[in-house]
Amino acid sequence: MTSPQAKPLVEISDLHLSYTMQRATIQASRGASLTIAPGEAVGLVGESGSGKSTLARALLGLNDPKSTRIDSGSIFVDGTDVTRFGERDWRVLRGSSLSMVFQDPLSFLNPVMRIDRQIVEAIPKSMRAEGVSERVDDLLRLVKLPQAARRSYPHELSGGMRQRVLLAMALASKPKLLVADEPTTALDVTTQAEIMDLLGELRQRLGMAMLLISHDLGLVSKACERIYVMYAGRTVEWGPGSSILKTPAHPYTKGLFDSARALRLPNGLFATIGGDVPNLAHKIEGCPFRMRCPLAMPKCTTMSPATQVLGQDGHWVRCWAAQDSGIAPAQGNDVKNA
Amino acid sequence: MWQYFLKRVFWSIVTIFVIIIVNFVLIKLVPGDPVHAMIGDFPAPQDYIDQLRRDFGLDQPLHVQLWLYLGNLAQGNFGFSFANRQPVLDLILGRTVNTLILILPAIVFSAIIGIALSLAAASRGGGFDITVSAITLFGYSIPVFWLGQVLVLIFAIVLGVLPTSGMYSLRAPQSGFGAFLDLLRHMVLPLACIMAFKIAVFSRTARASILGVLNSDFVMTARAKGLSRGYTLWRHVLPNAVIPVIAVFGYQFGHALTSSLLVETVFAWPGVGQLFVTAVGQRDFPVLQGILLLSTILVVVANVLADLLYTIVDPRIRRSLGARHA
Ligand SMILES: Nc1ncnc2c1ncn2[C@@H]1O[C@H](COP(=O)(O)OP(=O)(O)OP(=O)(O)O)[C@@H](O)[C@H]1O
Ligand SMILES: [Mg+2]
Repeated sequence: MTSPQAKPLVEISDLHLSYTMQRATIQASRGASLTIAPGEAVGLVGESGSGKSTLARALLGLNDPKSTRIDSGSIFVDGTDVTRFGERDWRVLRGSSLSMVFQDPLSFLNPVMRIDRQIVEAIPKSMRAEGVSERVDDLLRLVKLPQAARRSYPHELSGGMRQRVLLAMALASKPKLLVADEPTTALDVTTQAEIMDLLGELRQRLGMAMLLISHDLGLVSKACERIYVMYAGRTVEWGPGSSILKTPAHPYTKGLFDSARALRLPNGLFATIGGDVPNLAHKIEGCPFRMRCPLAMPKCTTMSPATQVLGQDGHWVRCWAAQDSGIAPAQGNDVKNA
Repeated sequence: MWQYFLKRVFWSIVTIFVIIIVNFVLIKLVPGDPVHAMIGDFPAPQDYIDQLRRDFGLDQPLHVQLWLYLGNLAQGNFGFSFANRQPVLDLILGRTVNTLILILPAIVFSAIIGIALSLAAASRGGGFDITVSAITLFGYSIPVFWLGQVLVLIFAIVLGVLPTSGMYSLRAPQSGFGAFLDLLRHMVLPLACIMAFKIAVFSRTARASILGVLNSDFVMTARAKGLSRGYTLWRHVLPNAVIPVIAVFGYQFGHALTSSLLVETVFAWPGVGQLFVTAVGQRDFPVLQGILLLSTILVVVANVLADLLYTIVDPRIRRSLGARHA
């Protein structure tokens, strides 16, 4: 399914985006690039605050237009640059090509409106010919929700059921791309697995592309063909899931893997990436990861790393220290002890 | 849920009972002969005075007297107003109806207008929002009696399009649509006076709650569905934003009753507020106590109704109450 030759469904290039607040301007995207081919499953991982949701919302034009500005870069959806889109243009796109499900299904549902009405709203006018009620039936069946849920209010459903409702709404317009922003983070482990299985199944059946956002590398690598790793508002490494998994090139990606595997270091501590995500209100010279990086060198302080390709399979990295895909094995990334 | 309401009603009755006791104590606290407090400053026939002494057992211990007082109230005997030559209950019931004719539409329309203004401000933003805020500030700060007099000056005296005061004109038809029109014409200015403040209150509450709801996650879901801003405001924001507005209905009703003192005095509206002011001047204690009791009951009932409405509008409360008391 992944053919680099196919015209991409989504192409985000070097996006810079900032939120203007009373006191500060937060540059939440600082060179994010990402492409999604039609029907492809792409994962986006990174720590909390790395700008994953910001990027996803930018893709659907969901950031508050009053406080958000796209400083540079472009977002192409189906060959059209959407960075200059007004709310009217966005509405058309959201109602047809793009859909999104969110992390906390309870707060993302209207608490005083019944489920069926909320689903009905999501059905575009053009798809109402065959009967709205039948369409709701179809959607409920698609996400495996019982008919009894129709007349419920969101608070009467379980977390997993609520996420299925969000999914049903997202699928109502038969989108080409489903953006799922941490769709299982608020759920218990069993329900998480159910929702992930459902997502995979739906994607196969409907042939839609998916952008799956998570900070769980394991989860993303199971569900996605390609993975993007994001740090401090920029994409720092991307490529086929298998390649990223086997030969992570960016020290940050390795750090994520080590903490995901709860790697025990010789000194008995769990591997974590020491230090904190940099404050996105400040300008950062050079590589944003250098303060936490075990491989940092003088060059990293002054020059932003260039993007370089590793091997033939479309594995890319932005790091001075990563020379090629066979880069030195992971050292203890516990900077706290370093 | 019904248990919740039974509980609410029970506490309402307790509240009313407390007010009755306060009433009773007030009679006792007025210096001089308690019979005097029950009659007021007006000359009463000696046999009525004797009958009161018997009815209230003024030679009996306090708890017996309270019991007798309760018995009288239960029979609708609120005393007799010699100032008005009428039983107190008949007097204040009629006047209360006149006040409600003014207050209820004032609250309902103020709520609707206040919410509509804030909603429009939220959807337009910018200049319109500032205008609404200015109107709100104006409504808040303007004194009611001053506004009343200015309105009378403009609309009744200079333009001559509306009556200056009262509830009915003598020359107007006594019944039917003509009488209704006449009543409406008399209502316009006092309504405007009460509503100037109430619209400000409701639009401020609504504005805060709309701004809160606009930041909710489900509004983003609505946008993600491709819904228009107008539809989103109407179907998603409004139903959630009215909930806190309904919550202040009961309180606003009580406040409107209080403000009727001023408005009815300015416009000579024959309501319970005007009656209260007159009764104070005449030291007509039975009337004052009757009004105190009746308005307490009204405020308590209004609060229970607002609660009921609140639970109807918000399914989450409906369920949590059902779960807790089932
Ligand atoms: N609406 C907003 N207004 C201002 N700042 C924002 C807004 N949304 C996010 N931010 C800031 O932008 C940065 C990136 O946030 P974002 O939510 O995109 O990260 P994330 O990777 O999705 O994190 P998480 O895993 O916690 O969801 C953070 O510093 C955050 O505080
Ligand atoms: Mg996020």
